[in-house]
Amino acid sequence: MLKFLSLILFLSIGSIVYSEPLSTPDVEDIEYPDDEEPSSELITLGKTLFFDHRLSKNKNQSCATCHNPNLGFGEGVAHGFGTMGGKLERNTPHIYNLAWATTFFWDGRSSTLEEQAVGPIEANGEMAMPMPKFLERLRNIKGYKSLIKKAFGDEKIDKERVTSAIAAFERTIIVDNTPFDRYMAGDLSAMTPKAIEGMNLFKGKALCIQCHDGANFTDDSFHNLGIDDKDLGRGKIVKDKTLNGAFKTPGLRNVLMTAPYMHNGQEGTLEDVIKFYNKGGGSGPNKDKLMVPLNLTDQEIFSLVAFLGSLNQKLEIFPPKLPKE
Amino acid sequence: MNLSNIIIIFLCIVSVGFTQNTNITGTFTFKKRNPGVALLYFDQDKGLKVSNANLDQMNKAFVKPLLVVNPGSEVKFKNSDAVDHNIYASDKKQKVNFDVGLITTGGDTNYKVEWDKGKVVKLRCKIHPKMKSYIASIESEFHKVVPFEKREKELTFEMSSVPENLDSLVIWMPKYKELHVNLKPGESKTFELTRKGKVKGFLSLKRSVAIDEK
Repeated sequence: MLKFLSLILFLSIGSIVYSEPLSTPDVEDIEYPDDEEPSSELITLGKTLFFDHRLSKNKNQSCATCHNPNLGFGEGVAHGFGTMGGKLERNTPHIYNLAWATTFFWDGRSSTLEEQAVGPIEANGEMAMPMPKFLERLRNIKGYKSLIKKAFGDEKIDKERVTSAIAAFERTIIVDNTPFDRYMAGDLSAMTPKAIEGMNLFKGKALCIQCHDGANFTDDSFHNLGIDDKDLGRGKIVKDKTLNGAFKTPGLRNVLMTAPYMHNGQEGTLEDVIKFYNKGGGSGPNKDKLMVPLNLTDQEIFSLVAFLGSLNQKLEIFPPKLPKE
Repeated sequence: MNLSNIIIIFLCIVSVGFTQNTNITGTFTFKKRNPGVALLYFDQDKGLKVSNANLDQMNKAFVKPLLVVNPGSEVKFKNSDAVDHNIYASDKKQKVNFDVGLITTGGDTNYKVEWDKGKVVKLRCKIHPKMKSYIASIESEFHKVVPFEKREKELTFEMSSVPENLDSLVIWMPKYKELHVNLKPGESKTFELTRKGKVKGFLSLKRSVAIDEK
């Protein structure tokens, strides 16, 4: 009998997936390129580039068009549009707390923010500006010369400088003072009892923490939720069938702001998302074995939504004045 | 054979028989972040014999920050974690590329290290990009792997019983310039640790005079 109980205990412990404790992100943990914090001048240049719609092929789209600060640095619709009017293939991921991230895009095809910044600029379906043309457009906007000189000491414009500036700005978009963070710091009244109940479900019965763990509520890993939309995701990037349909776990800070949800934007509300997980995800092939029915009651779903609401922090990031041509 | 030759041979035998050892104490100091791990080894030394090298994965991490093997060693990659893993390397500079594929929970797979000596290659997991470790292909029995804790800015370590005749030391750290330094018994030296031409820290080494351990 004892042996049997030991076996049961071993099997149950063996199936527990390690999760980093939920916590507040620490700027000391940010790995800046070459360990150098960016200057305020570099961040200003990056912010200006991020918001400058003239840098797309039709001069009508900037990074901020899809990563709209008023829409949780997303676009508020399942699929946004590129500069040429075509629909984007995936939902735009938010960009909160990417300073701590180790992989970028839904499929993780970039390993640095600098590398990521090039993707949407050059993609035909997005800003449609091959880098040489992008740089040429930039050189023709006289106002950028002084911004670049302030950031780098001279007026040279190249790909490395542009992407380092955009990435430097993106690393400043930080959510680290939410009701959850204040609660963790000892202010026990910062979260409502319902949100606290939701947090306990998040870490327990709802199994959310198995993927949404750590300071930024993401394992920076890839999972197949059973969404059957023929998008191969990570599998296509790494050419590995076992990862077909797997996508990066998004961080959950400011998640309330970032609707709609999932890589294809198929879920409109947080309640919808939790109900999707509650039934064990979708029915598509190659589903992650972590996806199991949760048997959450409606009350428990309500509590989980309350907890996710406690991860919210209003960030006021205003568009800068664009340089003159 | 004349008497002088006999004396020389005798002295050689005696000196080999009485090779003395030394201890090295080192202190790493970093201005900001530490590099996670450092490896020190003597490149004159060919005494390393690794027969069974294992690298396990647990709690979404490699259990060792760096694994030392001989060129030609077979490494067993294990997965004792509750989730599947994959191990791959893609090092264009050192021309080392491999992918052992999926290693399911409880599984393992073998990989033969066929790189030249002196190469240290980074390992990653395609499923968990946060995971990283390194395999160093070296021949030195007298080596030291120094793991750093997160946010540790100063760390002191020891290398004990290093034969006095070894004095050419290599210091490797991820993304840092590899150092090749000379340290004889009784010497104390401090070296700059640089990354992309910028000094990011220092390594102070102190070597004892020879200790007769017989």
